[in-house]
Amino acid sequence: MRILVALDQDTRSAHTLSQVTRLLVNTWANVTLLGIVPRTSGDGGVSPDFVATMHQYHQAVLEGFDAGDRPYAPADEDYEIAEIRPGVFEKMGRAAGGIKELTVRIRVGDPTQAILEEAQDCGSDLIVLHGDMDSRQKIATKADCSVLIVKEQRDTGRILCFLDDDLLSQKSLEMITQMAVLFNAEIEIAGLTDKQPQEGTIESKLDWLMRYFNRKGIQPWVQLVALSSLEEFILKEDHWSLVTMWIGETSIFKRLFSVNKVAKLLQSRKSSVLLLR
Amino acid sequence: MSLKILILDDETIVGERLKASLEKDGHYLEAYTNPHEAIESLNQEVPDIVVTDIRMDDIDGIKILELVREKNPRTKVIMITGYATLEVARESLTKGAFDFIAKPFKIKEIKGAIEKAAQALATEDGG
Repeated sequence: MRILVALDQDTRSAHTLSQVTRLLVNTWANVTLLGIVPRTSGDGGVSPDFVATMHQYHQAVLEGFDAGDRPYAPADEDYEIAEIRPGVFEKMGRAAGGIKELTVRIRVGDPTQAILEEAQDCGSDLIVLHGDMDSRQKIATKADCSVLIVKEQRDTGRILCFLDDDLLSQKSLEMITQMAVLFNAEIEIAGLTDKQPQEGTIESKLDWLMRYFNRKGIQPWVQLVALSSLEEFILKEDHWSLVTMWIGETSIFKRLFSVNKVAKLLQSRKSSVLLLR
Repeated sequence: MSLKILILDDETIVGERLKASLEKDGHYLEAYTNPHEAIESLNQEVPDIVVTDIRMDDIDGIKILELVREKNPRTKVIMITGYATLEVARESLTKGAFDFIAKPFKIKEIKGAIEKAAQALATEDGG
């Protein structure tokens, strides 16, 4: 697994990083910590203060591991920031070792473009960002991979998966399973029904998904939710560590996200949100 | 360098994806979804590299790792898992796995690990 974590100097970035570190401790994923510096009228460089913050983030990830279990090279105090391409900077240290990659980069420019370009560059399977990052909605709709929007840390032991008519990719199912392990959580699946003819499709999909998870030793809870009562459902229930939804080309949520409805609804909730592809 | 690689994952799609991609690179691949069949093959000939899922129905990948290490310590074993935990990663590496990869992954990531394993084999062989 390869994870891209988008970070800024907001305090919520530090919280996001602590959540991601839990995932890294489990998965030993290759990871890129990406600092985002919006382009201003300056010279396009990066302030020493921001570089120091990224170094702190780097150290914070490493400190999340016991030294003997750490799959990444140590953070070198004697590091340099090199501009590897115009507007793209990388932290270079001399410390060697580590069986997995931990890359620290800074991109100057439009945050949405910076995150999407880095995700393409590093081939990420998951983009992680905090719930108040301005670009979250554009990233959610434009990214090629899954996107995790981190809110509060909530170990409620429950993950909700909204199931609609979208394609269920193998990688999206694997991502849910890893999250269930991470949160030590049970899975609830809410099959969304739009109009009468679709119900049969959703029910057969629910059945398939149940069998998939059962084969994995997971016994999910299943329910049907009418699209017309989705808002009520989201507002009434807020007891999940994580809410997930598929957001591919045929997703109901992709349509709704474009008109900002679900985004606004979920913004008011405490659960983190995982958008699956 | 052409290598003999055995892939074991109870999800058919994993072996299919890897087989198609790695055979293009000139490697010889055997893909299994049934651990018993994979063990039968390992009992006859131990390949250069084994890529195995960790959690399967009745035999887990750690047992496969132990078997391979016992039969031929030279063979590099890459562990893949959909249920990643620190304990599993630690156990895999302690028991001699070459790498530990959590799902989901791109083919590129497995190919990267296989290339590293191939380099390690070449170095050990004095190449």
